[in-house]
Amino acid sequence: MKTKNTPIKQAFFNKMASEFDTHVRQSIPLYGAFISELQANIRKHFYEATILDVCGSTGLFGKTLFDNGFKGSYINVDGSPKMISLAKQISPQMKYPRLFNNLGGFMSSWTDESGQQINQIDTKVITFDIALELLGFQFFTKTREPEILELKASVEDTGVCIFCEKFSNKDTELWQRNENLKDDLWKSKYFTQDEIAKKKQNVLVDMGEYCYDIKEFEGLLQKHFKHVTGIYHAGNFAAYACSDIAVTELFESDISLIHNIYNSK
Amino acid sequence: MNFIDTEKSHEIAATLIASISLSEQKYGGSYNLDLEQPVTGYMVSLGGKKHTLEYETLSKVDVHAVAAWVKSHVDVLGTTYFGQPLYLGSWYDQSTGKVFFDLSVNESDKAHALSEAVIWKQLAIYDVENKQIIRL
Repeated sequence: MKTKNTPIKQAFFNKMASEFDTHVRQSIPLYGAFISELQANIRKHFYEATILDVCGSTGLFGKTLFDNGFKGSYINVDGSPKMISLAKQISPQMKYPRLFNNLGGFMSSWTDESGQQINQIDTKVITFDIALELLGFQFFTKTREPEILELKASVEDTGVCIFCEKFSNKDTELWQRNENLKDDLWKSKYFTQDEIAKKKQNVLVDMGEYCYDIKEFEGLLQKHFKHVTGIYHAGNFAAYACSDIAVTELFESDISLIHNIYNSK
Repeated sequence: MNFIDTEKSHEIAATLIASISLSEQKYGGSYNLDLEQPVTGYMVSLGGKKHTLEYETLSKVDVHAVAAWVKSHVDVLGTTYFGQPLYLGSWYDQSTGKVFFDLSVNESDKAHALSEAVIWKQLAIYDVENKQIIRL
């Protein structure tokens, strides 16, 4: 039964856990480049930070950080048993003692499609230096303000929250043009037209109702943080670094994508 | 939502402070809101400045400020840390003379407690049953 904040398509995430990270990078324009820059900035400015990653899937973000010399701690919370199982395989505790993969729900508990109970993890118990929401909220909630406040409550007063999502747009023509651009100039490098069409049915239709309007989302961030910096923008995808301390210079980026055509063919 | 009155928060604060007695070589304690202490397992302090109250010396500890800190953590104590119960803790650091009030978790498994301590960059865990500090 679908309750508030129960992820959609749980079976889908479990099924594709092993190929998830590649799939995301092939589906979202320059997402891999954005993640690499974000990690570089974290290593540069927050190399001993404590990081919370809600909906962190296989924990690859943390693993890559540690593989490149990160000295902090990384806590991944994800609601997919398969994702967490895989995360523990690729980042064994003996080799990654400060990387903690944990099965749990953000602001919700539920019984998943396989009958497994997923318990809520209260992320406010500890306060982190950085909290990440990378393509998470769009899969389980129509609201954003409670989730933004919860994530903010999970970081220190000087902490930074990173939000990255696929957004909806009241300008539906612009939104559709962005989708077409993404399909024609980015996804077509990795998928056939049939695969692109099938993926739309598998994930994107359901996800659509959880995507939040980009302008309203930016308004919420500005309402709740003193500093909000756009750090990635590719069509209907965007990311923001938010804090009550100045963050602009900490998340400098070379990715200028707003009107980019995805390193066209 | 949990609630405690001012009198109760002062009682808890006073208990936390009293668990530090240098003459008796007592360097801290862990309590829940019912002033119960764990009797087994291993205590691990959790990270986060937001949840930590720190004093340069024992003489500077202010019971009213500690009581306010207790009150501000009532709701958090109603939750768990990855399924484990949470406690309010006091700790006197013998090497620096500083006093800390923070949240701690009671882990039943020693190896897990040590892993937690590594993640949260703690220097030690506390063996409740044997009343021993285990340094990392």
